[in-house]
Amino acid sequence: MLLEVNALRKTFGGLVAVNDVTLEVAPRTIVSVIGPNGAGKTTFFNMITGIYEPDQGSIKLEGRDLVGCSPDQVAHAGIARTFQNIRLFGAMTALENVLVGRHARLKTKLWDAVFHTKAYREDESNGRQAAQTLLDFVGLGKQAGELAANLPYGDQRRLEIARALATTPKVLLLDEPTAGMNPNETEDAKTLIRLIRDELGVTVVLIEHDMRLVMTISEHITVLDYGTKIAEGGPRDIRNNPKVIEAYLGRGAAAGEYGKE
Amino acid sequence: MTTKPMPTRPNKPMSPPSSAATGWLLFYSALSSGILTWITRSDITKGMGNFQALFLSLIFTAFLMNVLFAYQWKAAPWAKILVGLISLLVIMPLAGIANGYLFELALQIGIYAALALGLNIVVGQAGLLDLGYVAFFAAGAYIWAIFGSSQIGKILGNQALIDSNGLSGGYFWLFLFLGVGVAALIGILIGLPVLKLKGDYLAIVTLGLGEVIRVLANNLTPLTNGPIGIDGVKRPDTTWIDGLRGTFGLSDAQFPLLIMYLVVLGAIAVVIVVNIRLENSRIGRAWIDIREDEIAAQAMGIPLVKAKLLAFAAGASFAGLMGVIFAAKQAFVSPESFTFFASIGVLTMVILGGMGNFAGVILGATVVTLLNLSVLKGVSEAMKGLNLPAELDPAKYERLLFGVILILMMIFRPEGLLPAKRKLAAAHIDEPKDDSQGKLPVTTAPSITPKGGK
Amino acid sequence: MGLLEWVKQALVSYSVPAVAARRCYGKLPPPRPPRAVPALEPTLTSTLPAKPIKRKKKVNIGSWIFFAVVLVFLIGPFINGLGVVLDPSKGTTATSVVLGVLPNVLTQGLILGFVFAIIALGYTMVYGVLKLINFAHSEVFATGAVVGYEMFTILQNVSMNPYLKLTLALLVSMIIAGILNVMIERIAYRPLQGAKNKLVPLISAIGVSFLLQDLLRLFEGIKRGQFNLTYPIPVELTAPLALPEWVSNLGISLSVKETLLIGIALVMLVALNYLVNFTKMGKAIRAVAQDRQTAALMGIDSNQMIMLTFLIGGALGGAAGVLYGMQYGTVNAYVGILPGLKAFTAAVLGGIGSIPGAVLGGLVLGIIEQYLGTVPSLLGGLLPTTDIFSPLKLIGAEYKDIGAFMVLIVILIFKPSGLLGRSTTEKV
Repeated sequence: MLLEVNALRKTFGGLVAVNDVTLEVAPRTIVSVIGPNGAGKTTFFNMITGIYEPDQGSIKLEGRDLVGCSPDQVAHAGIARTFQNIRLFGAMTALENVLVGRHARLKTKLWDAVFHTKAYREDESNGRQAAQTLLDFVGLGKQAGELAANLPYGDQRRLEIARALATTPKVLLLDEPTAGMNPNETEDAKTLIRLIRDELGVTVVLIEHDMRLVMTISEHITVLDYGTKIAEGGPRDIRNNPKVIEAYLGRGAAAGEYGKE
Repeated sequence: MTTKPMPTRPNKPMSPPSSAATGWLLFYSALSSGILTWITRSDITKGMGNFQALFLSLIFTAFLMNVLFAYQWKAAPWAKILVGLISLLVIMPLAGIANGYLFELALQIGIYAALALGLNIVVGQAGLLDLGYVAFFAAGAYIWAIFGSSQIGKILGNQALIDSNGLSGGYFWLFLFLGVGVAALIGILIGLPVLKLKGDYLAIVTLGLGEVIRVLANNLTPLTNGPIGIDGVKRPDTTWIDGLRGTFGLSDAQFPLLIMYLVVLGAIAVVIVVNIRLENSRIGRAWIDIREDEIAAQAMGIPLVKAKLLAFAAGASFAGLMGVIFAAKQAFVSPESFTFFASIGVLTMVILGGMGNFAGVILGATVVTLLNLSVLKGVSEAMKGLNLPAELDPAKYERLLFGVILILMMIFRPEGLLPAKRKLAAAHIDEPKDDSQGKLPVTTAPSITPKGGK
Repeated sequence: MGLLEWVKQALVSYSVPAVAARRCYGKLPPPRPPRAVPALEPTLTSTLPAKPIKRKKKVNIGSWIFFAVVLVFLIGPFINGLGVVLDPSKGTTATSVVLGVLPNVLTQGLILGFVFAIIALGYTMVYGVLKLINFAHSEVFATGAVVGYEMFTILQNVSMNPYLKLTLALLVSMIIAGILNVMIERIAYRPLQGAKNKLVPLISAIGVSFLLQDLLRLFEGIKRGQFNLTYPIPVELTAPLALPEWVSNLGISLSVKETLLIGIALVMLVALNYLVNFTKMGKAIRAVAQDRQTAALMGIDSNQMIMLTFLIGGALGGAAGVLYGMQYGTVNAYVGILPGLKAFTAAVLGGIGSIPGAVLGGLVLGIIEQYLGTVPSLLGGLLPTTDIFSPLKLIGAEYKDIGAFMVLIVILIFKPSGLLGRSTTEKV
C-alpha cells in the first residue's frame, strides 16, 4: 500500500470529528472519500496533510509515519493537496503560483540568490520550465502570465491542481475539485484527474460531492458519516449499500423504494 | 510636497520612452541642480533671516525630486541613468561640501532609506509586523560605538585602549560585517521563540523586545555608559585615499563626511541589490506566500518558521549594518536614538512609500526624513517671528505628523505612494468582494449543478 | 434546492444512463478532443530519495532555555539567599528579610494589577469584537488621566465632599474617554473593516495612538504650559487608612485612596460582568464577537454593538486613567504608553478576548511587576558581594518593565491562548 491511514481520530472539545478511520490507498489508484456535510472529510484531509495533529492513529506513506510532521514536511514527503475554498496566491501570476509549488524541490540557498550563482540560475530555469510544463499539462499554458486572482473560477481550480502537482507528490489529495463547476467543467476535471493518474502516475484521493464523478472515476470509495467510516468498496458496492443510502437519505428512505435499485 | 498621490508607475515594457519626457527630465534636472549648487555657494540665503532653513529645505527637496523623476518618467534610459548618477555622485557631494547641513541631511536620509529597505523585507515582503526594528540598529550602533571609542578601554580597564580611544578607524570596515553578523544573530535568537506567533502577537512581542533593548542600553551603564551615551566614536580610517583630500581641496571636516556619504550610498546599493535578488528567488516567493496565506504556503512545502526566521534575520542584518555606519557618522550613540518612536518612524517610511516596493520605500524614507529633520524645523524657525508660545513649535510634533500620515495612508492609500505593481493589481481585484460581506464566496457554495432527473 | 435533496436526486439519477439525463437540460455539448499531454520534464517526475523526517516538537529547545532563565531569575535568588545569615543573634537570613516585605509588595502589586486589569478590559473587549489590537487604547487611558487632572484642578477650591469630587472626576473622564474611543472607531477603524491585509487597521491604530499623544500634549501645553501634571488630590483621600493591628504587623500599609481604588475597580468589574453576561445587550455583544455575520442574520446591528463595545472599553480606560493618576500622582500626555503595553500583555496573559482572563492577567502582572521592582535589588543588596546573585542589586526599578515582556513571551510560547483563553484552530 502507498498510503496507509490507520485508526485516525480527532476530537474538537467533546465532538469526535473523525473516529478511528482507516484508509488504504494502493499505488496508481483513484480513491474517493464521500459523506454528507460535516462528516469529517476535510478534517481527515487536514490530519493527513499535517494541518491538524491527530489524537490517535497513524498515517504511513510508503511505510514512513507522518504523524507529527508539519504541513511542509508532509509536502516534502510526497503528499500534496488542494483546498475546498481555493487558496491561491492571488497577487502572483499563474506561473509563479506553480513555481511556489516547486519550492520544496528547488535548492537555492540565500547565498546563491544574492550572488546569482550557477546553482541559482539553473534552479530557476529548471523550475520555470517545470512550472510551464505543468501549466501546459492542466491546459493553462497560455495563461502563465495572468494573475491568479484574474483567472476564471474553473481555471483557478486547475491552477491549484498544477501547483500541488509541482511538489512532485506521490499522493494528491483533492478537496472537492469540482465544487461550483458546471457539467462541462466537471467533465474536464474528470479527464484531468484521470490524466494525472495515467500520465504522471500520481495516486489521487478526492473528497467529492458530485456522485456521478465519484462513481465513474474512483476505483475505491470510502464513506464517512459523523466521523465514522460506514462503508467502503467499489462504486457498485457503495451504490447498493443500505448504510450509505441511510446516511444520505435517512432511515425511512433506506427501507423504501430508493434502496431497491 | 509629494504627499499627493503620485501617478502610478507605468508598466515598463509596454510604454516606449518619449523624447518629450527625456527633454523635460534633463531640463528639470539641470535647473534644480544648478539652483542648488548656486544657492549653496552664494550668500543669498544669509539675508533671509528666519526663512533661510525653510528655503534651503525646499530647494533641496526640489533637487531630490529630480532623482524621483528620473526613476518615474518615461524618459530614455540613458537620460535616467545619467541624471541619477550625476545627481547622486556629483551634484550632491558638491552641494554637501559647500553646505555641511545638507550633507548631514543627505546622510540621514540615506541611513533611514537603507533601514527602511531592511524593514521592508520583514513587513512588506514577509508580512511580519516588526515594531522593535531599531533594536537591531541599536545593536550595530553600540558594537562600533563601544569598540571604536574609549569605552572598550573602560570596560576592560585597559589604559592603552583608553589612550588610543579604542580600536583604530581601520577596524570600521571589519565592523561593518560584524554588525551584520551580530544583528542577524540577535534576530535569529529573538525570532526563534516568537516567530511562531500570529501577526498581532508578533507585533506586540517585537515592540516589547525593542523596549527591552532600550532599557538595557539605558541601564547597562558599565557597557553602554547609560543614558549619557558614548562619545567620540571614530570615523572610518581612510589613509589609503587620504591623498585625494588634497586633490579636491577638502578640509578635515569635509572629507570624512564625503567618505561617509559614499559608504552610505554603497550600503544602499548593496541593500537594494540583495532585496531585488531575494525577491526574485524562491526565498522571496516563499515570503510573499507566507504573507498571503500561511496555510497554503505550508501545504506547498514552505517551512513556515524557517522562512520567517530568514526574513527576520535578513531585515535585522541590514539594520545592524546601518547601525555601524550610523555610529561612525554621528560619532555619538545614546539610547535616545533607539526608542519605540524611532521604530515607528521607520515603519512610517515603509508604509508611506509602499510596502514591498523598494523605490517606494526609498521615497518614503526621503519624504519622512525631510519632513522630520528639515521642513518641520524650517517651518518652526520661520515661525519664530510670530512669537508663538513654545508649545506650538511644529518641530516638536513629529508624533502628530507620523500619526496623521499613518492614518491617512491606511484609509486612502494603503498600498503607499509608489505601490508594488503586483500589490496594486491585487488591491483592485479585492475591492468588490469585501471581506465582511464575502464570507460565503462562490467557492464554498454547494455544487448544485443541474443533474438531470425527472 | 438544498444539498440533501440534491444528493437524493444525484443518487437516484445515477441509475439513469448519464446521457439521457443530460438531454433533459437541452443540447448536448460537442465532444471535446482529449487534451494533448506533453512529455514531462524528467525533473518533474523524478521523486526525491527518502530522507529522514524530523519530528515537529511541541516546544523547541530555545523556549525551554528561555523559560529556565526566567525561572532562575525569579526564584533562584531566594533559594540561594536562604542560607545567607545576616544577623546570627536573631537568626535573620536574607530571605527572611525579603519575605518580610512580601505582604506589602503583594498589596501594592494588587493595586497596580487592578489598574492594569481595567485597562486590559478595554483591549480584550475590542479584540473580542474586531480582532484588532486597539493601540490607541493607551491614549484613551491617558486622556482619562488628563481629564481627571482637569476635573480635580477645577474642583480644587470648591468646598465639596472629596468623595463626590472623585465621583465627578471619574464620571466626566469616563464619558469623555468613552466618546473618544467611539470616535476613534468611526474615523480610523470602520473605513478599514474590509481590508484584506490584517496589518492595515493595526497600523492605523498605531497612527491614532501617536496622533492622540501629541494632541494631548498640545492641549495641555497651551492650557497649562507644562508637560508633567501633578494630581491635586484632596488630602482626605491621601490619608493613611487605620488598619487592624494584625494587618499592619504584616508590614502592609494602605491609604484611603488605595482602598477606594480597589473598591471602585471591584464595583466596575462586577458591573461589567453583569452587563456582559446577564443583559440582552451583553448577549448581543458576545454574539457579534463570536460571529458577526450570523449575529447580523439574527437581527443584531453589529456596527452598533461594536460602537457600544468601544464606548464601554473607553469608559473603563478613562476610569483607569483617573485611578492611575490618583494613585501615582503625576501624569502627562505620554503616560499611557507603558501601562497600555503592560495592560495588553495582561490581556494576552489572561487569554485575549476573555473578560475574566483580562482581570486575572492584570492582577498577576501587577504583582510580578511590583515584585521585580522591589525584591531583586533588595535581595541583591543584602547578599554578600561574593554571592553569584549579588549582581541583582544592579537591577533597578527600570528593569521591571522587562519583566512584563518576559512574562508575555513565556506565556505566548507555552500557552498562546493565555491562562483562561480557549484555543482556536483555524478553519481550513
